Amino acid sequence: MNRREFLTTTLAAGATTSTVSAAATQEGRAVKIIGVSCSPRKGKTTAAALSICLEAAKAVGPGVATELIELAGRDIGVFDPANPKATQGGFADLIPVLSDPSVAGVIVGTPVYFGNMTSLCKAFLDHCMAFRQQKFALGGKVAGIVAVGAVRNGGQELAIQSVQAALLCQEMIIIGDGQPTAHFGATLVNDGKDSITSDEFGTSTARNLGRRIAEVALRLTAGTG
Amino acid sequence: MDRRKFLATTLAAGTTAAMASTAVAAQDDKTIRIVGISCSPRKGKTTATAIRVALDAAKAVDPRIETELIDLGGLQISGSLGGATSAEAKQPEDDFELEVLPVLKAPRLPEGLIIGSPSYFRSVSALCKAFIERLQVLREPKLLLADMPVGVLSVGAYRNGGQELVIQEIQTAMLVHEVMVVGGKPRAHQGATLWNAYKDDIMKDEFGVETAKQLGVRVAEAALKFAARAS
Repeated sequence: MNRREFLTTTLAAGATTSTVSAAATQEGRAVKIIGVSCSPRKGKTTAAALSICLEAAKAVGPGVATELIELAGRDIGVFDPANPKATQGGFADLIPVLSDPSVAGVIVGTPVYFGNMTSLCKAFLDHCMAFRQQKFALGGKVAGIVAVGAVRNGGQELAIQSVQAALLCQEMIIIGDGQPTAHFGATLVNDGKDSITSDEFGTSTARNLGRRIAEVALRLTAGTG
Repeated sequence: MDRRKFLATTLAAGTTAAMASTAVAAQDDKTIRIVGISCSPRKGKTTATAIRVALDAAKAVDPRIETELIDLGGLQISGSLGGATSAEAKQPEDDFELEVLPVLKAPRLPEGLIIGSPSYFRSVSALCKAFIERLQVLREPKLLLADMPVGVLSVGAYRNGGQELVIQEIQTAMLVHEVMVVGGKPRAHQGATLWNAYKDDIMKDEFGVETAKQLGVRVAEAALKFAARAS
Protein backbone atom coordinates (compact mmCIF):
# COMPACT_ATOMS: atom_id res chain seq x y z
CA MET A 1 0.00 0.00 0.00
CA ASN A 2 1.36 3.40 -0.87
CA ARG A 3 0.94 6.58 1.15
CA ARG A 4 -2.16 7.75 -0.72
CA GLU A 5 -3.94 4.43 -0.48
CA PHE A 6 -3.06 4.24 3.17
CA LEU A 7 -4.53 7.67 3.84
CA THR A 8 -7.68 6.88 1.87
CA THR A 9 -8.20 3.64 3.69
CA THR A 10 -7.54 5.18 7.04
CA LEU A 11 -9.88 8.10 6.40
CA ALA A 12 -12.61 5.88 5.05
CA ALA A 13 -12.23 3.49 7.89
CA GLY A 14 -12.64 6.20 10.46
CA ALA A 15 -12.41 4.82 13.93
CA THR A 16 -14.32 1.61 13.43
CA THR A 17 -12.93 -1.60 12.10
CA SER A 18 -16.04 -2.70 10.26
CA THR A 19 -15.74 0.14 7.78
CA VAL A 20 -12.30 -1.05 6.83
CA SER A 21 -13.90 -4.05 5.25
CA ALA A 22 -16.47 -1.87 3.51
CA ALA A 23 -13.66 0.14 1.98
CA ALA A 24 -11.92 -3.04 1.00
CA THR A 25 -14.99 -4.37 -0.74
CA GLN A 26 -15.49 -1.11 -2.61
CA GLU A 27 -12.05 -1.59 -4.06
CA GLY A 28 -13.07 -5.04 -5.20
CA ARG A 29 -10.88 -6.99 -2.86
CA ALA A 30 -12.04 -10.46 -1.94
CA VAL A 31 -10.67 -12.84 0.61
CA LYS A 32 -11.45 -16.41 1.45
CA ILE A 33 -11.52 -17.78 4.96
CA ILE A 34 -11.44 -21.55 5.39
CA GLY A 35 -12.48 -23.36 8.54
CA VAL A 36 -10.88 -26.75 9.13
CA SER A 37 -12.70 -28.99 11.57
CA CYS A 38 -10.33 -31.51 13.15
CA SER A 39 -12.93 -33.59 14.96
CA PRO A 40 -13.11 -37.27 14.03
CA ARG A 41 -16.88 -36.81 14.28
CA LYS A 42 -18.50 -35.07 11.35
CA GLY A 43 -21.03 -32.31 11.84
CA LYS A 44 -20.74 -32.14 15.61
CA THR A 45 -19.79 -29.32 17.96
CA THR A 46 -16.45 -28.37 16.43
CA ALA A 47 -18.02 -28.04 12.99
CA ALA A 48 -20.87 -26.07 14.54
CA ALA A 49 -18.46 -23.71 16.29
CA LEU A 50 -16.55 -23.17 13.05
CA SER A 51 -19.80 -22.43 11.24
CA ILE A 52 -20.47 -19.68 13.75
CA CYS A 53 -16.98 -18.28 13.10
CA LEU A 54 -17.44 -18.40 9.35
CA GLU A 55 -20.83 -16.73 9.47
CA ALA A 56 -19.36 -13.90 11.50
CA ALA A 57 -16.48 -13.65 9.05
CA LYS A 58 -18.88 -13.46 6.14
CA ALA A 59 -20.88 -10.74 7.87
CA VAL A 60 -17.84 -8.48 7.84
CA GLY A 61 -18.46 -7.71 4.19
CA PRO A 62 -19.48 -9.06 0.80
CA GLY A 63 -15.81 -9.47 -0.07
CA VAL A 64 -15.45 -12.33 2.37
CA ALA A 65 -16.06 -15.86 1.14
CA THR A 66 -15.95 -18.83 3.47
CA GLU A 67 -15.68 -22.58 3.31
CA LEU A 68 -15.88 -25.30 5.93
CA ILE A 69 -13.70 -28.38 5.52
CA GLU A 70 -14.18 -31.36 7.80
CA LEU A 71 -11.32 -33.78 8.25
CA ALA A 72 -13.59 -36.54 9.56
CA GLY A 73 -13.72 -39.43 7.14
CA ARG A 74 -10.79 -38.18 5.05
CA ASP A 75 -8.54 -40.98 6.20
CA ILE A 76 -5.65 -38.78 7.32
CA GLY A 77 -3.28 -41.02 9.26
CA VAL A 78 -0.48 -40.22 11.67
CA PHE A 79 2.46 -38.58 9.96
CA ASP A 80 5.67 -40.47 9.30
CA PRO A 81 8.45 -38.16 8.09
CA ALA A 82 10.12 -41.09 6.35
CA ASN A 83 7.09 -41.57 4.14
CA PRO A 84 4.62 -38.69 4.43
CA LYS A 85 2.48 -39.70 1.47
CA ALA A 86 1.82 -43.19 2.79
CA THR A 87 -0.58 -41.88 5.41
CA GLN A 88 -1.74 -38.55 4.05
CA GLY A 89 -4.99 -39.94 2.63
CA GLY A 90 -7.40 -37.15 1.79
CA PHE A 91 -4.91 -34.52 2.91
CA ALA A 92 -3.61 -34.56 -0.65
CA ASP A 93 -6.88 -32.98 -1.82
CA LEU A 94 -6.51 -30.17 0.70
CA ILE A 95 -3.04 -29.07 -0.40
CA PRO A 96 -4.19 -27.02 -3.44
CA VAL A 97 -7.27 -25.76 -1.58
CA LEU A 98 -5.42 -24.36 1.42
CA SER A 99 -2.38 -23.05 -0.44
CA ASP A 100 -4.51 -21.16 -2.98
CA PRO A 101 -3.51 -17.48 -2.91
CA SER A 102 -7.16 -16.45 -2.54
CA VAL A 103 -7.19 -18.05 0.92
CA ALA A 104 -6.27 -15.28 3.31
CA GLY A 105 -7.26 -16.92 6.55
CA VAL A 106 -7.60 -20.37 8.08
CA ILE A 107 -9.50 -21.19 11.24
CA VAL A 108 -8.45 -24.48 12.76
CA GLY A 109 -11.03 -26.05 15.04
CA THR A 110 -10.36 -28.98 17.33
CA PRO A 111 -12.10 -30.79 20.15
CA VAL A 112 -10.00 -31.07 23.30
CA TYR A 113 -8.79 -34.59 23.97
CA PHE A 114 -6.56 -35.01 27.00
CA GLY A 115 -5.75 -31.34 27.34
CA ASN A 116 -4.67 -30.95 23.76
CA MET A 117 -5.79 -31.02 20.14
CA THR A 118 -7.04 -34.32 18.71
CA SER A 119 -4.58 -36.72 17.13
CA LEU A 120 -6.42 -36.09 13.87
CA CYS A 121 -5.64 -32.40 14.25
CA LYS A 122 -2.00 -33.18 14.97
CA ALA A 123 -1.86 -35.53 12.00
CA PHE A 124 -3.23 -32.72 9.83
CA LEU A 125 -0.70 -30.23 11.19
CA ASP A 126 2.16 -32.70 10.76
CA HIS A 127 1.15 -33.31 7.15
CA CYS A 128 1.27 -29.52 6.70
CA MET A 129 5.01 -30.19 6.33
CA ALA A 130 4.03 -30.24 2.65
CA PHE A 131 3.36 -26.48 2.74
CA ARG A 132 6.74 -25.74 4.24
CA GLN A 133 8.27 -27.67 1.39
CA GLN A 134 6.25 -25.59 -1.08
CA LYS A 135 8.06 -22.39 -0.13
CA PHE A 136 5.88 -21.93 2.93
CA ALA A 137 2.64 -21.83 0.98
CA LEU A 138 0.68 -20.96 4.13
CA GLY A 139 3.07 -18.16 5.05
CA GLY A 140 1.45 -14.80 5.60
CA LYS A 141 -2.05 -16.21 5.87
CA VAL A 142 -3.94 -15.40 9.05
CA ALA A 143 -4.81 -18.19 11.46
CA GLY A 144 -7.19 -18.41 14.37
CA ILE A 145 -8.02 -21.37 16.56
CA VAL A 146 -11.24 -22.83 17.95
CA ALA A 147 -11.25 -25.40 20.73
CA VAL A 148 -14.29 -27.24 22.07
CA GLY A 149 -13.86 -28.94 25.42
CA ALA A 150 -16.05 -31.15 27.56
CA VAL A 151 -15.97 -28.89 30.58
CA ARG A 152 -15.45 -25.22 31.43
CA ASN A 153 -11.69 -25.17 31.89
CA GLY A 154 -11.20 -28.34 29.94
CA GLY A 155 -7.91 -27.72 28.17
CA GLN A 156 -9.26 -25.30 25.56
CA GLU A 157 -6.46 -22.83 26.19
CA LEU A 158 -3.76 -25.49 26.06
CA ALA A 159 -5.12 -26.98 22.86
CA ILE A 160 -5.22 -23.53 21.26
CA GLN A 161 -1.65 -22.85 22.31
CA SER A 162 -0.41 -26.12 20.83
CA VAL A 163 -2.11 -25.48 17.50
CA GLN A 164 -0.73 -21.95 17.46
CA ALA A 165 2.80 -23.26 18.05
CA ALA A 166 2.51 -25.56 15.04
CA LEU A 167 1.07 -22.86 12.79
CA LEU A 168 3.85 -20.44 13.69
CA CYS A 169 6.15 -23.01 12.08
CA GLN A 170 4.29 -22.28 8.84
CA GLU A 171 4.94 -18.54 9.10
CA MET A 172 1.25 -17.94 9.55
CA ILE A 173 0.02 -14.87 11.36
CA ILE A 174 -1.75 -15.87 14.53
CA ILE A 175 -4.68 -13.92 15.88
CA GLY A 176 -6.99 -14.37 18.84
CA ASP A 177 -10.69 -13.73 19.16
CA GLY A 178 -11.48 -10.07 18.68
CA GLN A 179 -12.94 -7.63 21.13
CA PRO A 180 -14.65 -7.51 23.48
CA THR A 181 -13.62 -11.02 24.55
CA ALA A 182 -10.19 -10.66 22.87
CA HIS A 183 -8.20 -13.56 24.23
CA PHE A 184 -6.60 -16.70 22.80
CA GLY A 185 -9.18 -17.79 20.27
CA ALA A 186 -12.62 -19.34 20.49
CA THR A 187 -13.17 -21.48 23.59
CA LEU A 188 -16.36 -23.52 23.72
CA VAL A 189 -17.94 -26.19 25.86
CA ASN A 190 -19.89 -29.18 24.63
CA ASP A 191 -22.88 -29.60 26.94
CA GLY A 192 -22.44 -33.37 26.89
CA LYS A 193 -25.21 -33.78 24.34
CA ASP A 194 -23.27 -32.51 21.36
CA SER A 195 -24.63 -28.99 21.50
CA ILE A 196 -22.90 -25.66 22.00
CA THR A 197 -25.93 -23.41 21.64
CA SER A 198 -26.35 -22.90 25.37
CA ASP A 199 -22.72 -21.80 25.70
CA GLU A 200 -23.27 -18.08 25.32
CA PHE A 201 -19.76 -17.04 26.22
CA GLY A 202 -18.19 -19.68 24.00
CA THR A 203 -20.29 -18.85 20.97
CA SER A 204 -19.47 -15.16 21.45
CA THR A 205 -15.77 -15.99 21.29
CA ALA A 206 -16.44 -17.93 18.09
CA ARG A 207 -18.21 -14.95 16.55
CA ASN A 208 -15.47 -12.57 17.64
CA LEU A 209 -12.80 -14.85 16.21
CA GLY A 210 -14.60 -15.08 12.89
CA ARG A 211 -15.04 -11.34 12.64
CA ARG A 212 -11.47 -10.63 13.66
CA ILE A 213 -9.88 -13.04 11.20
CA ALA A 214 -11.90 -11.54 8.33
CA GLU A 215 -10.94 -8.01 9.34
CA VAL A 216 -7.27 -8.81 9.58
CA ALA A 217 -7.33 -10.80 6.34
CA LEU A 218 -8.86 -7.85 4.53
CA ARG A 219 -6.35 -5.45 6.02
CA LEU A 220 -3.44 -7.65 5.02
CA THR A 221 -4.82 -8.09 1.53
CA ALA A 222 -5.12 -4.32 1.29
CA GLY A 223 -1.46 -4.11 2.26
CA THR A 224 -0.38 -6.30 -0.63
CA GLY A 225 -2.84 -5.00 -3.23
CA MET B 1 13.12 -61.63 43.02
CA ASP B 2 12.93 -64.31 45.66
CA ARG B 3 13.63 -63.84 49.30
CA ARG B 4 17.19 -65.15 49.12
CA LYS B 5 18.15 -62.83 46.32
CA PHE B 6 16.57 -59.99 48.19
CA LEU B 7 18.62 -60.68 51.28
CA ALA B 8 21.79 -60.96 49.25
CA THR B 9 21.07 -57.69 47.54
CA THR B 10 20.29 -55.93 50.75
CA LEU B 11 23.45 -57.21 52.40
CA ALA B 12 25.53 -56.24 49.43
CA ALA B 13 24.04 -52.79 49.40
CA GLY B 14 24.88 -52.20 53.01
CA THR B 15 23.10 -49.40 54.74
CA THR B 16 22.97 -46.73 52.08
CA ALA B 17 19.97 -44.51 52.13
CA ALA B 18 18.87 -45.48 48.67
CA MET B 19 18.50 -49.10 49.59
CA ALA B 20 16.87 -48.38 52.92
CA SER B 21 14.10 -46.42 51.28
CA THR B 22 13.39 -49.18 48.82
CA ALA B 23 13.62 -52.17 51.13
CA VAL B 24 9.95 -52.01 51.98
CA ALA B 25 8.96 -52.59 48.40
CA ALA B 26 11.28 -55.53 48.07
CA GLN B 27 9.70 -57.33 51.01
CA ASP B 28 6.78 -57.93 48.76
CA ASP B 29 9.06 -59.96 46.48
CA LYS B 30 8.02 -57.82 43.62
CA THR B 31 10.10 -56.59 40.80
CA ILE B 32 9.65 -52.95 39.94
CA ARG B 33 8.77 -52.58 36.30
CA ILE B 34 9.39 -49.41 34.36
CA VAL B 35 8.13 -49.20 30.82
CA GLY B 36 9.35 -46.72 28.26
CA ILE B 37 7.22 -45.79 25.26
CA SER B 38 8.85 -44.36 22.18
CA CYS B 39 6.28 -42.38 20.21
CA SER B 40 8.29 -41.80 17.09
CA PRO B 41 7.00 -43.26 13.83
CA ARG B 42 10.66 -43.97 13.06
CA LYS B 43 11.44 -47.26 14.74
CA GLY B 44 14.69 -47.54 16.63
CA LYS B 45 15.80 -43.98 15.98
CA THR B 46 16.65 -41.13 18.32
CA THR B 47 13.59 -41.20 20.56
CA ALA B 48 13.81 -44.97 21.10
CA THR B 49 17.54 -44.72 21.79
CA ALA B 50 17.03 -41.90 24.27
CA ILE B 51 14.34 -43.87 26.09
CA ARG B 52 16.68 -46.84 26.25
CA VAL B 53 19.28 -44.59 27.88
CA ALA B 54 16.72 -43.47 30.44
CA LEU B 55 15.61 -47.05 31.11
CA ASP B 56 19.20 -48.23 31.57
CA ALA B 57 19.80 -45.45 34.06
CA ALA B 58 16.62 -46.44 35.86
CA LYS B 59 17.71 -50.06 36.02
CA ALA B 60 21.03 -49.10 37.56
CA VAL B 61 19.24 -47.48 40.50
CA ASP B 62 18.14 -50.76 42.04
CA PRO B 63 18.60 -54.41 41.10
CA ARG B 64 14.90 -55.08 41.42
CA ILE B 65 14.07 -52.74 38.63
CA GLU B 66 13.16 -54.28 35.31
CA THR B 67 12.68 -52.23 32.22
CA GLU B 68 10.91 -52.63 28.95
CA LEU B 69 10.82 -50.52 25.82
CA ILE B 70 7.73 -50.33 23.66
CA ASP B 71 8.64 -48.79 20.32
CA LEU B 72 5.54 -47.52 18.54
CA GLY B 73 7.52 -47.04 15.33
CA GLY B 74 5.95 -48.98 12.50
CA LEU B 75 2.77 -49.77 14.42
CA GLN B 76 -0.62 -48.68 13.14
CA ILE B 77 -2.21 -46.62 15.88
CA SER B 78 -5.00 -44.12 15.32
CA GLY B 79 -6.50 -41.67 17.75
CA SER B 80 -9.81 -41.90 19.55
CA LEU B 81 -12.91 -41.62 17.39
CA GLY B 82 -14.45 -39.28 19.92
CA GLY B 83 -17.84 -38.96 21.52
CA ALA B 84 -20.15 -36.42 23.11
CA THR B 85 -18.40 -37.27 26.40
CA SER B 86 -15.15 -39.08 27.04
CA ALA B 87 -17.03 -42.06 28.43
CA GLU B 88 -18.88 -42.39 25.14
CA ALA B 89 -15.74 -42.07 23.02
CA LYS B 90 -15.29 -44.91 20.55
CA GLN B 91 -11.91 -46.45 19.93
CA PRO B 92 -10.62 -47.91 16.67
CA GLU B 93 -9.26 -51.43 16.47
CA ASP B 94 -5.59 -51.52 15.58
CA ASP B 95 -2.11 -52.27 16.87
CA PHE B 96 -2.76 -50.49 20.14
CA GLU B 97 -5.04 -53.30 21.27
CA LEU B 98 -2.88 -56.02 19.74
CA GLU B 99 0.68 -54.90 20.32
CA VAL B 100 0.77 -52.18 22.92
CA LEU B 101 -1.86 -52.76 25.58
CA PRO B 102 -0.98 -56.42 26.24
CA VAL B 103 2.71 -55.55 26.72
CA LEU B 104 1.87 -52.59 28.89
CA LYS B 105 -0.33 -54.74 31.14
CA ALA B 106 1.79 -57.89 31.29
CA PRO B 107 2.01 -59.20 33.84
CA ARG B 108 0.52 -56.08 35.41
CA LEU B 109 0.62 -52.37 34.79
CA PRO B 110 4.12 -51.00 35.41
CA GLU B 111 5.25 -49.13 38.50
CA GLY B 112 6.68 -46.34 36.37
CA LEU B 113 6.32 -44.97 32.88
CA ILE B 114 8.58 -42.95 30.62
CA ILE B 115 6.95 -41.47 27.54
CA GLY B 116 9.04 -39.97 24.77
CA SER B 117 8.06 -38.13 21.62
CA PRO B 118 9.91 -36.35 18.86
CA SER B 119 8.97 -32.72 18.47
CA TYR B 120 7.01 -32.14 15.28
CA PHE B 121 6.14 -28.50 14.74
CA ARG B 122 6.64 -27.70 18.41
CA SER B 123 4.34 -30.39 19.69
CA VAL B 124 4.03 -34.16 20.09
CA SER B 125 4.01 -36.41 17.03
CA ALA B 126 0.54 -37.34 15.82
CA LEU B 127 1.44 -40.91 16.74
CA CYS B 128 2.12 -39.82 20.32
CA LYS B 129 -1.16 -37.98 20.50
CA ALA B 130 -2.98 -41.03 19.15
CA PHE B 131 -1.30 -43.26 21.74
CA ILE B 132 -2.24 -40.86 24.54
CA GLU B 133 -5.87 -40.85 23.45
CA ARG B 134 -5.95 -44.63 23.39
CA LEU B 135 -4.84 -44.79 27.02
CA GLN B 136 -8.44 -43.81 27.64
CA VAL B 137 -9.19 -47.51 28.20
CA LEU B 138 -7.00 -47.31 31.31
CA ARG B 139 -8.87 -44.25 32.55
CA GLU B 140 -12.50 -45.19 32.33
CA PRO B 141 -14.35 -46.70 34.03
CA LYS B 142 -11.44 -46.87 36.48
CA LEU B 143 -8.33 -44.72 36.80
CA LEU B 144 -5.86 -47.58 36.45
CA LEU B 145 -2.84 -45.35 36.00
CA ALA B 146 -3.58 -43.29 39.10
CA ASP B 147 -0.51 -42.42 41.19
CA MET B 148 1.88 -44.00 38.71
CA PRO B 149 5.09 -41.96 38.34
CA VAL B 150 5.45 -40.72 34.78
CA GLY B 151 8.45 -38.97 33.29
CA VAL B 152 8.66 -37.43 29.84
CA LEU B 153 11.34 -37.19 27.21
CA SER B 154 11.47 -35.29 23.96
CA VAL B 155 13.80 -35.05 21.00
CA GLY B 156 13.85 -31.97 18.81
CA ALA B 157 15.63 -31.09 15.59
CA TYR B 158 16.82 -27.76 16.92
CA ARG B 159 18.35 -26.60 20.18
CA ASN B 160 15.14 -24.93 21.27
CA GLY B 161 12.97 -26.96 19.00
CA GLY B 162 9.85 -27.43 21.05
CA GLN B 163 11.27 -29.99 23.49
CA GLU B 164 9.83 -28.15 26.47
CA LEU B 165 6.44 -27.71 24.85
CA VAL B 166 6.28 -31.40 23.94
CA ILE B 167 7.07 -32.38 27.52
CA GLN B 168 4.40 -30.05 28.83
CA GLU B 169 1.78 -31.47 26.48
CA ILE B 170 2.43 -35.05 27.55
CA GLN B 171 2.52 -34.12 31.22
CA THR B 172 -0.79 -32.30 30.87
CA ALA B 173 -2.39 -35.27 29.16
CA MET B 174 -1.15 -37.71 31.76
CA LEU B 175 -2.45 -35.59 34.63
CA VAL B 176 -5.87 -36.52 33.30
CA HIS B 177 -5.06 -40.04 34.52
CA GLU B 178 -4.18 -38.82 38.02
CA VAL B 179 -0.61 -39.95 37.53
CA MET B 180 2.31 -38.48 39.46
CA VAL B 181 4.28 -36.42 36.99
CA VAL B 182 8.00 -36.35 37.71
CA GLY B 183 10.84 -34.51 36.02
CA GLY B 184 14.46 -35.57 36.09
CA LYS B 185 17.16 -35.20 38.72
CA PRO B 186 18.84 -31.79 38.87
CA ARG B 187 19.54 -30.09 35.57
CA ALA B 188 16.81 -32.12 33.93
CA HIS B 189 14.01 -30.73 36.05
CA GLN B 190 11.34 -30.72 33.38
CA GLY B 191 12.29 -34.05 31.88
CA ALA B 192 14.74 -35.20 29.23
CA THR B 193 15.40 -32.78 26.41
CA LEU B 194 17.45 -34.06 23.51
CA TRP B 195 18.65 -32.51 20.31
CA ASN B 196 19.03 -34.54 17.15
CA ALA B 197 21.86 -32.45 15.75
CA TYR B 198 24.06 -35.33 14.64
CA LYS B 199 22.16 -37.14 11.89
CA ASP B 200 20.27 -39.52 14.14
CA ASP B 201 23.27 -40.32 16.36
CA ILE B 202 21.60 -39.05 19.48
CA MET B 203 24.35 -40.36 21.75
CA LYS B 204 26.50 -37.48 20.53
CA ASP B 205 24.18 -35.02 22.24
CA GLU B 206 25.96 -35.25 25.56
CA PHE B 207 23.77 -32.73 27.35
CA GLY B 208 20.60 -34.40 26.15
CA VAL B 209 21.78 -37.92 26.95
CA GLU B 210 22.60 -36.78 30.47
CA THR B 211 19.05 -35.44 30.89
CA ALA B 212 17.72 -38.81 29.74
CA LYS B 213 19.79 -40.53 32.43
CA GLN B 214 18.62 -38.09 35.08
CA LEU B 215 15.04 -38.71 34.03
CA GLY B 216 15.50 -42.45 34.30
CA VAL B 217 16.97 -42.16 37.78
CA ARG B 218 14.15 -39.92 38.97
CA VAL B 219 11.42 -42.17 37.58
CA ALA B 220 13.14 -45.17 39.18
CA GLU B 221 13.27 -43.48 42.56
CA ALA B 222 9.64 -42.48 42.33
CA ALA B 223 8.62 -45.97 41.18
CA LEU B 224 10.39 -47.53 44.17
CA LYS B 225 8.54 -45.22 46.52
CA PHE B 226 5.28 -45.87 44.72
CA ALA B 227 5.75 -49.64 44.94
CA ALA B 228 6.75 -49.42 48.58
CA ARG B 229 3.64 -47.54 49.48
CA ALA B 230 1.33 -49.67 47.39
CA SER B 231 2.50 -52.96 48.86
